Amino acid sequence: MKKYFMVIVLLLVSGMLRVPWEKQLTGQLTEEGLLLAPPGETLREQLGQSATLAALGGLRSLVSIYMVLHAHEAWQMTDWETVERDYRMITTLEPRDVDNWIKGGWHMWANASASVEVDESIPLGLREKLRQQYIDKGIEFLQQGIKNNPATAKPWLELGFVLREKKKDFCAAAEVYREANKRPDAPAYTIRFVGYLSALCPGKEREAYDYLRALYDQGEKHRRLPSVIASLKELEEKLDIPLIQRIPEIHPEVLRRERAEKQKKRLPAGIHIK
Amino acid sequence: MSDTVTYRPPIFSLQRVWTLASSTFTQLVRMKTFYFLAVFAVLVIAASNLNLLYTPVQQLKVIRETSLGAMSIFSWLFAISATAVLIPRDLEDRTLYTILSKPVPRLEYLVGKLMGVLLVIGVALALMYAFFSVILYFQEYRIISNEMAHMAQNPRYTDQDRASEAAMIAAYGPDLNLLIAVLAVFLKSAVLAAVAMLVSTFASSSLFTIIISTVIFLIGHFHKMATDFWVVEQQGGMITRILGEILVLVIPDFQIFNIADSVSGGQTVSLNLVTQMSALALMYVAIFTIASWFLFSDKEF
Repeated sequence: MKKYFMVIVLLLVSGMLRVPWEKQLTGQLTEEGLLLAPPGETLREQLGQSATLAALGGLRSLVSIYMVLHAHEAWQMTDWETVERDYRMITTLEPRDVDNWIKGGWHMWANASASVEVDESIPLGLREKLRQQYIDKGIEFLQQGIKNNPATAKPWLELGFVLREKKKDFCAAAEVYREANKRPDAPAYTIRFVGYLSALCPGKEREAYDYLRALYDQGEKHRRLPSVIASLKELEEKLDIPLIQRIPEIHPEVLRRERAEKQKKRLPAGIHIK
Repeated sequence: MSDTVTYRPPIFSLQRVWTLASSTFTQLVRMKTFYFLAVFAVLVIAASNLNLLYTPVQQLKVIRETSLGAMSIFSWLFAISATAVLIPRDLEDRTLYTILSKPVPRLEYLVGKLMGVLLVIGVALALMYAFFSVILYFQEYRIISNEMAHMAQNPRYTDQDRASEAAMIAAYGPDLNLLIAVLAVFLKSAVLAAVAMLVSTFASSSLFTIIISTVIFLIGHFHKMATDFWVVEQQGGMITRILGEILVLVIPDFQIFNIADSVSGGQTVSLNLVTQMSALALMYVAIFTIASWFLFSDKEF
């Protein structure tokens, strides 16, 4: 009995020595982003006991992989509520995995929104409302992803795409691409997208023209792409730019039409190209 | 005048500890422990072929995460179960009597046994690391080639974009930084094995050791969180506070070694933190080994 008592005293005394050290070490590890906060109450309820234990035991990634599988199955069944819930859990478990935020957002703005649009079991009037709701959910996923991963351009690019293609909010999309462009991993095309989308934003035409013209004047090959020339040509017309200041190239669309016309003339009678 | 020379064996001999450790290693290998590696290989290959619309980076991350997860599970299970059966097995085989009848201090016996277990875990982890690094290497090569071919077809991407994408994918390929994650897994298992050894010195059966060690292992993952919850959120009384404090002082904090997930996700660890974690694990192992020795030193067999 005396020995057991000694062991308990040894463990208590050594515990008193190590606990302050552990607190300091835990603080350092958390500060450097190596230790994540334990799952919150809501997440624990959603995960269930065994998954919570696994997450607490340092198997967050494995739980997350399982949740991705689960969400994949739900996606195939077009069970959007489950897909959304699963991706909320996945992103809470691994907030620094930017691809999970993007994937969760994509399921919402692309798949769920398209699915409800053609779902005949939903009254027609409600479909558009639901579609917009899912697009907004996708945007929210991406905004959270940006908040948790501020250094990378990936969620910005995705958000720019959704604002451009789904919301047709070109002004916001232009600003999003401008932000993306500040990140070191932004692809080269991002710089041009700021101009293209500003050109479509009412009231920003002059700014867009100056921006694209500055790109064009840099003369690099990839900045005189047909899209840059087309945007500039349209803006020149819209802003009534003096002829002397206009770029020498012909609008790519005009060129394309001319080429098609020439080819048409060369074709034997009865054969047409569109 | 007598010329008899009395041989006094050294109080602590590393050579004897090594002999015990290597025989324990052999003993455990004969238990077909390394068969787990075949299961691991299947799991890693399956993970490398799993593609749930993953991005190139995610494909590599899944291999890293699955491999590290499997390595963790193997090492915890092994640390508990192998340590739990060692002393009872030596008793059953009567090897224990042979060893202890020789001038082998009981501390050396315990340290040797623990080292043997850790040696098996270390070798297994090293083999698993080597295997999944090879798989990662080939997958990285394949994914980068595919991605580059895909990007080459799109004029929107510049050479710089392609180089940047390749570098981003390569960051999740085989990486020496992953060794730190493997080390963290090893350190956690070492502490767990030391706890299991302490339990086995007073346990009545291997099953008891396995159950108690597993319970301690689980508690060690959330005792700090639970104590905070009871004391702060539930405003527990004095008794709750004292019980909570005792739990935190006696049971190791296993959460501190849970860095494998973050390292697998690309986080880097400073040498200072690695040293501190290793020192903490060493401290745990030393304390639990001394505690085991207290209980084992005059145990009657």
